[in-house]
Amino acid sequence: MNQTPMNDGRCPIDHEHLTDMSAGDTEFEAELMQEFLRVTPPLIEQVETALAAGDLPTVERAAHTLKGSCRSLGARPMSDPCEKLEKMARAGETTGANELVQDVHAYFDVLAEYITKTWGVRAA
Amino acid sequence: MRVLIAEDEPTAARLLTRELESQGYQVFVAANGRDALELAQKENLSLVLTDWIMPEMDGLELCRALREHPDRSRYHYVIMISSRSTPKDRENAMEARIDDFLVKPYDQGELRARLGVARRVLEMQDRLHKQNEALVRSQEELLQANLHLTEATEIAEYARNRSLQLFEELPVAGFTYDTSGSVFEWNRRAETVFGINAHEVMGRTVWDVLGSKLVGKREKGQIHHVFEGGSFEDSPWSDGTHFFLVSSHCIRNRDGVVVGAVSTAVDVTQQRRAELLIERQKQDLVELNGRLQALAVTDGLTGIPNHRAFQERLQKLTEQANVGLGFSLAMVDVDHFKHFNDTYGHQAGDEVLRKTAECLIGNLRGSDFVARYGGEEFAILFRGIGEESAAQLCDRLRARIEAIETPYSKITASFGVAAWGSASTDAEDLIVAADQALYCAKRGGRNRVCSHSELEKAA
Repeated sequence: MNQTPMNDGRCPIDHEHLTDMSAGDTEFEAELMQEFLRVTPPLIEQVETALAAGDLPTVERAAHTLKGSCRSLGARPMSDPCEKLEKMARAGETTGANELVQDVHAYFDVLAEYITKTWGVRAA
Repeated sequence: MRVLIAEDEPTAARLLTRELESQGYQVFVAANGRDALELAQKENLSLVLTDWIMPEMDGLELCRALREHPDRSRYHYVIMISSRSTPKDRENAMEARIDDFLVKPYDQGELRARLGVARRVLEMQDRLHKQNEALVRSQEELLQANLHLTEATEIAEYARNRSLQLFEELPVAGFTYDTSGSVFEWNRRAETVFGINAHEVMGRTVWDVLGSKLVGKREKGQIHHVFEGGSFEDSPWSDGTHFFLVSSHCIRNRDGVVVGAVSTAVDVTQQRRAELLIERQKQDLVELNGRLQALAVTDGLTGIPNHRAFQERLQKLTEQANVGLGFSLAMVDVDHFKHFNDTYGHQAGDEVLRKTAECLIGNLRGSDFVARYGGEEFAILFRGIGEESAAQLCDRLRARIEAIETPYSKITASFGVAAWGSASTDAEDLIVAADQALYCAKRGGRNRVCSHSELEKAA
């Protein structure tokens, strides 16, 4: 059974990883987060649209980019459903995909809230 | 050092850019493979960090495209940064000739180390490339030099072949030999002219090959004269059957030393034969002319000189008489000649004439001359004697004629003698004078000799 952000219990961001990448530069971190909040919603929308149209290659690529984005920041919890979507799309599998998209939405909401709380940036 | 990042995901691109810039790189970012390819070519970027999965053109395609770039002199060092890390993924990456593979999430230290390797490889590539260029340049120079050499060799070879061919195809027999006489070239015409193949002559001396009949003492001398730096032109050589016009010149080496000779021989046998034929025909003609002339001055029936010959001889004698050498003329007529023809036939008449002529010519002195004057009449010229002596000789002749044995009746003849000077100093008059004496002899009873002076005494 999929974990939900509600029962996950993990921190939305792996701070250790992030510090490693940003060398502790919180200003740069804020910049990164701002960028993340800007590019992520269109990518999620792209996944949804493509899934509805049965365009699995696009689902796979968009999910892959989402996953990469999350991992770059150390947003590991959100990257998991993205990876699952990517793999399903590659395997030509759609059963449970819509649920996964909902998970992505939910994780993103949690993450966005966390980002705003932590770095003081919000989606434009 | 400049670096190209191909990454469609903005946050990852931002992170990487920041890291690379902090390491002192100048960073170019493209959001997909196609843009990256364009940027790499436009900016001459050789170090490329690429994501695998990207829209438009993915990382593998980008790598392949860079490898296929026509400018091979630039090596692109491609590091793939991807979360795909199965053995199959790595295999695909290697097939696309990715230089290095970094799995996301990567460690900053690892990235730095990989980039260090990349820089060293690129620097080495660059050095190798420069060395290679220098090598290519010197190779090209060498090739060019070789080309010139080949050309020069070809030209020399061509010239040599050309002169060889020229020699070989000369329309006259040509051969060369060293100063020991040993033949080393023998052209095609020489084979036909002398009937000796080139392979038969190699290593043999010219005089041995051509034979002593053709190359005798004189010809050997000529050849040795050439060996001393001389030459000769159109010297006629012959073995008795064939005739050649031979020319020879010495061959000198680069130091001017005579090392041999070249000879040409024109076969003039045909011409010589034609000349000889003409010569022989000329002789035949002379002979024929002589015979014709003889026929012209010989009487066909009796074989002794004819009237014309008599006139010529008389003319000559009168000329000689003018410088003091006298002569006498006797006109002789066969008595009753008509009787022989009428009684025994014309053949008998002919025989009488022949026998008379034979008798006359057989009993004359060597210096005297007898001719058939016409019909049954003969004329005798006695050189250097007067009328009296001539009359005596005539009387002897008359007796001989009378003695001729015949199946017919006896042959007799009458003689009229006249001497040059005493009788006449004109050839015509001399004949008239002798005729008058002959007439006298006839009248006096035939078979007798009458001289012109007697005639005058009687008158």
